[in-house]
Amino acid sequence: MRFSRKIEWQKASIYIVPSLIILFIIAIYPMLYAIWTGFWDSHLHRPEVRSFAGLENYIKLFLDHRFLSSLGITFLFTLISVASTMILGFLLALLFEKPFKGKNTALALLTIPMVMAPVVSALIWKVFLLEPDVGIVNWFLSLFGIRGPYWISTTPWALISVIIVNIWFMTPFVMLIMEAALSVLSKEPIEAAMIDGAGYWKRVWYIIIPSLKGKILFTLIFRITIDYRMFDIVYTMTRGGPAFDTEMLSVWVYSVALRTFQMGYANAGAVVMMIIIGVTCLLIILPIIRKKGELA
Amino acid sequence: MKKTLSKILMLVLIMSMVGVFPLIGCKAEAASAEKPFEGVEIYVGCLARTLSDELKPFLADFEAETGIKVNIEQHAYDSLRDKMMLEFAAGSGYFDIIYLSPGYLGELVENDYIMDISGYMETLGFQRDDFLLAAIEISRYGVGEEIWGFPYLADTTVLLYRKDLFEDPDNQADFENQFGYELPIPTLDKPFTTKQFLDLAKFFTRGDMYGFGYPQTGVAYGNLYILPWIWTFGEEYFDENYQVTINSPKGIAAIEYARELQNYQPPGVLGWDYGEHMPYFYEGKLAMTAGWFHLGVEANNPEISAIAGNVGYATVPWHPESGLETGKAVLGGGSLAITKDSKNPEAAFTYLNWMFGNKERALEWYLNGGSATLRAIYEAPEVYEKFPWSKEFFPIANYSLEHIAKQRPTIGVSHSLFEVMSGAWHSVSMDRESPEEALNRVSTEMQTIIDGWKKDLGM
Amino acid sequence: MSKVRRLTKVRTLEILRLIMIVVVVFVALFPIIWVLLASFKSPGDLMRVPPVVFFQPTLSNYSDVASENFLFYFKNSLIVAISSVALSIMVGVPAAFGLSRFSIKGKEGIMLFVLSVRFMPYIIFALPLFFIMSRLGVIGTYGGLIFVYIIISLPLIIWLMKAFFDSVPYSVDEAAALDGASQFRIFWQIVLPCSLPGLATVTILSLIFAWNEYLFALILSGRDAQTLTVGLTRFLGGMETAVRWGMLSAWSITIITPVVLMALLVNRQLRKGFTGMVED
Repeated sequence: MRFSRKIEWQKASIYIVPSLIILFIIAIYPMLYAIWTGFWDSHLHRPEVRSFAGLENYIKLFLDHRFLSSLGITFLFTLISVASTMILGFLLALLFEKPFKGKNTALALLTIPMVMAPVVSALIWKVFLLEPDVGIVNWFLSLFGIRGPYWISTTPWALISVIIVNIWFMTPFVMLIMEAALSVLSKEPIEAAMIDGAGYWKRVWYIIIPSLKGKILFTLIFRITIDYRMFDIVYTMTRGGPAFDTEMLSVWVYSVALRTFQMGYANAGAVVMMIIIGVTCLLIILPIIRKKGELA
Repeated sequence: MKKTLSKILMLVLIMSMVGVFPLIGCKAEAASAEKPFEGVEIYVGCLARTLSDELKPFLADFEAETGIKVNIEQHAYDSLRDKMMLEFAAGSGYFDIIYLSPGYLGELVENDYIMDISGYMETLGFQRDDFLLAAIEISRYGVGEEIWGFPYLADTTVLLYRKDLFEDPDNQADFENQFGYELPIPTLDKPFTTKQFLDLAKFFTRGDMYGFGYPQTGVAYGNLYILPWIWTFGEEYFDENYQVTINSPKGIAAIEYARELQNYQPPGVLGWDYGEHMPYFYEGKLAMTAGWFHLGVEANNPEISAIAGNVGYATVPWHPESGLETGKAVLGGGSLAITKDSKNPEAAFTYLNWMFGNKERALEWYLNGGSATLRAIYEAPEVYEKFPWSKEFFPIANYSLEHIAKQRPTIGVSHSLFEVMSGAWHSVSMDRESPEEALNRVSTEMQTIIDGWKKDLGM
Repeated sequence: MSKVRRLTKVRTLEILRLIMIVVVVFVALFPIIWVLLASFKSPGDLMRVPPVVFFQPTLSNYSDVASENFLFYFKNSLIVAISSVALSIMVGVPAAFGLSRFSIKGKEGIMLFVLSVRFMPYIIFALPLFFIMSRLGVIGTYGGLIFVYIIISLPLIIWLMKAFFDSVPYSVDEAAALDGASQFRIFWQIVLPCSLPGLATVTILSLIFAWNEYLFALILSGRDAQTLTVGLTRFLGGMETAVRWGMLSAWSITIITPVVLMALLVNRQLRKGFTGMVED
């Protein structure tokens, strides 16, 4: 018997409303404020002196080649970083799948990169590992006679460095999810395939991956939303340079706000960011929620 | 669940214990006496470097004498600037004194965030004429007479070159064969010309050595590097009517020259930041470089430099076709400004005058790594005892300060102009644009920025 | 393939696999180990090439950190993280319960709303909040920053706790209701205790995220509430300032140690938490 409960909003509200109010104050109101500011031409230091600009800021954005390049960089970064971590994470999960002595310890150790503050990771990589002359990475390369590049200060290595750090710190996340998913996968289809003579990689491709489709999709969405708004790593490592070549959207908004003081313009950029990710997520999530709603 | 909760408790305990870790290494603090009539605390925001490090030993004495507690908060340049802008916009009164770089001088003055301290000349004994002219100049806005910051650091770039390599007869012979004139040794009256400088850079780029090398990273050094070349060739960013003039033939010639010079510098220079060129110079990988005063002084200090004794000093190259009498270099350094929303401006000024206006203290600071802004310091015998090579260095340095150093544009949007210019310079050195393309593009961008600035100020 | 050859093949593959696992763990941990070592090296040894492996350890970097008023930052990070997570829990857990148990018009909408806040870039909140907070005069106060930090944990807590609550069957509520328990008692004394592991997981995750946060602290922490992450980036090099390697390494170690220790101690929970975040 299903316990049907028709609770009026009144009773439910005590539980839910406080959260909604708080979220409104600290999240929704600022977002609305940002949208509103995007329509004005205001200055960080003289907020009273401002003129209404309507859609001018938004139009300016799409004519601004620094903003457009920032869009491109964000897209490129997200694409490469998400793809790499997904593939690498999945492969590592396969690697770890079969139990072995010390598996738990190994998994525990692998969570460490994930829990370190991105700022700290970025800093460690930048200052100690990727420093062109006294950093470990280039020294290591020099042992093989390879002359390591100037990681942070030249293109394309700057973007590559940022991506490397992101991969280093996000792969364990994907790996853990995949590993957990693998461990609850039902064995029968796999065993059946083994008996039929399918090789390891065939089994992976045709059986395992399809059964994990849901998990993979969600991890993908999650990863996209995290990478897309990346600020900490880029800001710490390159500040968006050299010459704006690693300027992700978040960094663009911050730099424009604090260097050129064009608050209206910066907020307009932030709003565009929000629209892009909002639309992307809605497009992916809505159909899924609908489907789930039908099944429930 | 209990197990997990107790685990969490244990963790919180551990977290607090980790906070103890640094305490183990902490030295015991000396007790300080406080004058009852002042219980004031002031905050100084400045750059993290030896200069500000060496201020700390004096703080205890200051507090003992006046009861004012000074907190020196050191930051990286970007960090400080961003933080400062945020705090000013929020009106929080966070900093009483801040490091005032010419880079953001304009913004702060135009938005009324800092105080003009010339007023303190009568009231609190500020002796303006005790200081080097350049030290006052660095805190000047446009052509105004106000003094926006207390003298702290004023210097400029001087050329450093390997005397031993230049005086080596084989090098001299080879050079003459290759270029058809004698290897030039620079003097105050006869500095390098731009042509000679380029030839020398080319000549010395061989093996694992490069002719020249200088930091060019980011906005700060990107601009600091290219601006003096533009000046040296006789051009400016804009004229008195705020019209951008940078894409004139002189401007283009400057960028073309710099682009060629780039071939004789290590490839990583676009990523070098403050001070990063010195290790290369010391290791013999650069035949020539340039540096701010203290870097120049360090170059001949046997405790710091492996090539001490072999470093010659010169003024920056001169471009005869520019119509100017000397080359140009950027007046660098900064001053210490008192913020408008400081709650203790007089206490702040008292500190500044006590520390930097007092000859004994300023001298001691200089000898330990500080800077010299008081004229009197240049006559102090202790300086020549400690840095004997200063005898060679000071004439070049002082001449450069008086005749060669030039204050960067200080209008409020200067930083944006610098951003545009440094971006263009990086783009040209990576061959993404030709000098002419870059300058034409840049001049439209700069003009837009300046026009926007004028509109903001109602001009 | 003969049985013997197959066994040897399996054996070699297994050994290869273990080697690869070791390599992976090494690559994951190397940066941290390196910095840990670096934090005990004297300035002379610190950035030498070839790298110094055997050296005389010193605590000088830590004493430098201590003299930079490190405890102030540590205290701030601690207060802000713990308080904001505590607040989020107090408000979010009931909300999750409500969303789990009650069938309300617009439930989907609310869930979507909560989810979308989680996906927004922080910068879109940070700039407006800067203005709003300065006008209210709360920039740089603990209260202000703590309140803002709730953005980090509240959506996560609501989302995850709802999932945990959903896994407690209605029959439990039913039974309690039949025994005459009020709605609140069902929540507080029945369903919640069943979900304590979930709550612990969610708390740990939220604490970690709050501790590691950077952007909000950078813009909104003023003078009095600066956290460890902000303090760290003060020491990067830049124009006219030299990189302070010793300080950076010691400071980095102190930022990550509490979190790493916590992660190792409650690792199972932590892992469940991370995998749970993708639960849908």
